[in-house]
Amino acid sequence: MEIDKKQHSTKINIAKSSATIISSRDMADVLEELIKKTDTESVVFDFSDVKFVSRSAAHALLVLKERIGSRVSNKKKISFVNANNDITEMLRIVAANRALPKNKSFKFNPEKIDIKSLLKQAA
Amino acid sequence: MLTRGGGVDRERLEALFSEKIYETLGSISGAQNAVCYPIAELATNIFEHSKKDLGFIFGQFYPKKDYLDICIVDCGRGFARAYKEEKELDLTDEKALIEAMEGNSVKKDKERGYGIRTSKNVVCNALKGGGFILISGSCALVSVGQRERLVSLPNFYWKGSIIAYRIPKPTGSIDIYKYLE
Repeated sequence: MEIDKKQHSTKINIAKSSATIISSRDMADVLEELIKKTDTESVVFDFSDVKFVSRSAAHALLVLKERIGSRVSNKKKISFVNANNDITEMLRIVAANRALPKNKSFKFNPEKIDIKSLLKQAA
Repeated sequence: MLTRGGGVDRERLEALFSEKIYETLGSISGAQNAVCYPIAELATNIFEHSKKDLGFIFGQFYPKKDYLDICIVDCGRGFARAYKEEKELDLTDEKALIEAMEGNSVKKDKERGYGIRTSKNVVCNALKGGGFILISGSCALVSVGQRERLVSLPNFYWKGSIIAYRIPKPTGSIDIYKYLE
């Protein structure tokens, strides 16, 4: 865990606190525990050396940011810095979907087949 | 082996696995996202949905054929039981897979449900020439390129889920964002 505290802000280095590839939603819980230990009004998630953040993890991070930022008591402003282009793009896609959810009516119509026919086709 | 409650240790193990896969495929600049995305999304689903504390992930590279296979497995409740327990839906294995591919998550959050479909799209479309198989219960989804087939497996039953996919060695940068919806 690496936390750097300046006057009004605490910086949390995500790569050192977690991993260089952030996959799971659980990491938001880990970061929330670190946030609880801070006494500054602002917390900065530093993504230096983080190479990739999954869509699920990006969603969990944005939900965390909103929830902590809108609390009545012990509210904290969370910001993200030093995110590479790919992480930035992932956060933007998820944030855009949160703001304006896509119409999710997608119909999946696969061809239906039995195993024998599939194996015959593959042979 | 991935275990629930591993916290940061599990995250680091998954990161090491993804990095190794990327390195094995030649560390092609601009392709790391495409390699990492399905691993991240599909492995995380073990702990989000299976109700088991253990999952498995395996990779095998075929250097003469220039492709790599990955398999992500859990012995959890499977798709149909997840829909039954979380949404009180009585679905066949086939309908449960279709429901998942249509993005209807068992979670209440309307923004969930993208992981499996978008991972399949990255494997089959972004990583040109990829193939994707998803098995739960007695049904399998087999996707290669644009072709999607749902296969009944009457003499086979897997209690949890098996996801296996094959990705060709990337030859250049890959844009996954148009497949992420």
